[in-house]
Amino acid sequence: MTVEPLDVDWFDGRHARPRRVRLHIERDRIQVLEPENGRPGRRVVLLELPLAAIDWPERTRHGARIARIAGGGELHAVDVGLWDAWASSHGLRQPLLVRVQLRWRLVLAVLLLLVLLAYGAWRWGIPLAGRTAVALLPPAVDRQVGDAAYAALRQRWLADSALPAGRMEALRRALESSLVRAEGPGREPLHLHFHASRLGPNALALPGGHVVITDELVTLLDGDETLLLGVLAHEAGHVRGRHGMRLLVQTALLGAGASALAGDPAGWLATLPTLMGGAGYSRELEREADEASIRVLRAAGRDPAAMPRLFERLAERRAAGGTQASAGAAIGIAFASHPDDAERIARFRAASLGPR
Amino acid sequence: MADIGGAHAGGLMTPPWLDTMPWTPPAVTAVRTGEAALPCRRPLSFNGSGSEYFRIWIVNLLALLLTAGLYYPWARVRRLRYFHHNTRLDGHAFDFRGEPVRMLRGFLLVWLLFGAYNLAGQTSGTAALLGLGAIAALWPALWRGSLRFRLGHTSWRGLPFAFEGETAAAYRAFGAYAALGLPALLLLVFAQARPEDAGFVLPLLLALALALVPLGWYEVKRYQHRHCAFAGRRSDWQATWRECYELFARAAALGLAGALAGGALFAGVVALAPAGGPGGAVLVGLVAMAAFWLPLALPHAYLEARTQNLVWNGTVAPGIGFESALGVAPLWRLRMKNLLLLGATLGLYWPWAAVATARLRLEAVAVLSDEPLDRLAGTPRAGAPDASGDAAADLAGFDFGL
Repeated sequence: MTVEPLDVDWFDGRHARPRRVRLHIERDRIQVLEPENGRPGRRVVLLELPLAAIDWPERTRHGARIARIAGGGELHAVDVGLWDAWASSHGLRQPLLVRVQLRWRLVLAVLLLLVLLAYGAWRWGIPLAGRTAVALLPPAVDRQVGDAAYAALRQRWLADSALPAGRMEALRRALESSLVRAEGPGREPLHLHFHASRLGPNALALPGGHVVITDELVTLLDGDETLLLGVLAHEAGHVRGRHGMRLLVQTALLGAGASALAGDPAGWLATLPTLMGGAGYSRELEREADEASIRVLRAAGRDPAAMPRLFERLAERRAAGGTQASAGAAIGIAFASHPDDAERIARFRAASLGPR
Repeated sequence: MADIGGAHAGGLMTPPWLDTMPWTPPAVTAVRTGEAALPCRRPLSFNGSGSEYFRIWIVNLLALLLTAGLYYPWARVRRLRYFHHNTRLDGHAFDFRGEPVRMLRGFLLVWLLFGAYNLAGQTSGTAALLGLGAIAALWPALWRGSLRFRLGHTSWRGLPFAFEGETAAAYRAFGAYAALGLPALLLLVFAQARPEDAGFVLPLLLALALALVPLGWYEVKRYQHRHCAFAGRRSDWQATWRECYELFARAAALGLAGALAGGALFAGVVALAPAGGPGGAVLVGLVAMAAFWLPLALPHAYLEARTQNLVWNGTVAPGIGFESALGVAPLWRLRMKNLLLLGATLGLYWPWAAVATARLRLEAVAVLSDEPLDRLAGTPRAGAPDASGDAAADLAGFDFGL
């Protein structure tokens, strides 16, 4: 079957004046012919090129068809419908993605697939990547990051502790021996810092083994050794799982993914999934740390079921004076970063040693 | 000429105007003094469709996800081509000739640069500051590269555009912004270190910005619009820095009025809100946010519309001029509509919003010339400029105006 030549506008790459010509494809060569001008059968070849020298345009419902000629010049469709029919009758196939994009039904299927893939990446892909990346990262990096973070924190928020030295030493020893009992020797060293602070009652773990506990928390817990041990074991769990680094890597990955996906519409849209998804990771790590705390308490022969008292005290304090609590939230210990109190209380209760 | 897009619909038939070209009569040709009359006026038209762009976007997203982002240059080229092929001047659409494979290298480079900066920002303040400094120092060169790449690969009727600005001039063009940025950075560092004594920092920053942003904007636009070339002609920009200061002063006054109105509305909504449960609080919060942002969107639309007009009405080339009459009210209405629908559809409306915005902005522009446009002739294209700058500008969300 021979296909009729197609009328197009030809631009030579030097002049803005279009020239009406006809395109004819003969095997792997393409000919640019002069129009017949009422003299059928006349064939004046203006240009002959290998077919590969033409970069054919994508098919769209709206918009021009412009084929680029290697080395300069363009061929513009005069009638888009005729162009498309002519191109497909010559077997000029559209790429797979273009064929999908031309059909609404396939596009909606792709949208569904995208949602599933994005969920899977958030739920399993990124945490796995985070764990792997951190396992490959030398611990010296944790140290550097943690040292810098601790120095910054110390400068802005922390003052020297007012607790008696003996009290600090006793807590340090209790924690150390319980950790050894729960996990055996040979851990990365833990640096426990006591500080008076503007953070209110709080404890936090930084990469590289820094654990900070505030005087306010020690006071709030009234020196209850089980509760203090539970809190410190929770933070030690963060240290042991290198949670600081994992959160860093995971939120960075999430941010990169979100801005690749949603960055087109608007930067601010991309921050939303990062914030929400990041809080999800943080809650997951808190759960892991709570599990670690339970293990250590049980190994030390103390009842995890005592821990709910901690949440009660903190809640009482929040109710009493909101300002102090919001200072804590300000440096990023936002409550959404931790699981619901009720959930955590239930976990500690379930781990109860029971009547002995 | 960045996001040039557009053309006419479905079973499109280009009118046979080839021989008898019906030029618009020489009516509206108020051209700046010193220029010869430009009797030929050809408006830009844009015919992209939101639903089609949506489909392109979704398919691009899938390819991006499956290739861990490596598909980005291809997605970008397909997007640019859709907009170019739908933007018509005098019956013919623009084209974008950039090759994705060549753009990949530049994209990776820029991705590494910003990735390193991001990581540095998460570990230590000093590292973040150093990274920011490095990016700021590279920025004019990257930006110039991006202009060269973008214009060098844009063509109309087979004739390529070109950008001929030098790197040294690009650095000079950012001088005013640098004069704003350095003191601003020092002030912010001071405010961090001594928050108690930093009460004066915010007013001082605002004053600095008001004094230097119009100048910085003027310098950058001037550099950009004095060095474009097409068909053997070099463009010039005739807007004055006075006009820029006037425009920014009006926008600032509008912004102040908008902030006051928004604040009053916000307070009103909060005061009148019934005390309900947490659901009610969320609703009141949303309404209050809207009350705050609605009046503030007006100065934004004002700035966007008027800067486009200032830029294009001031751009000339031998025998060529531009006319841009983008209205503030239509742009503001469109922005509001887009915002509402984006919120209601969780962002899925985005392609429609982008297409509608491109149409409004592009169709406000017309090209004036002293003779029919098809008499233009140029020199064949030279070597293709490098692609890394383009990716840089795109990643940072830099917009070149049109």
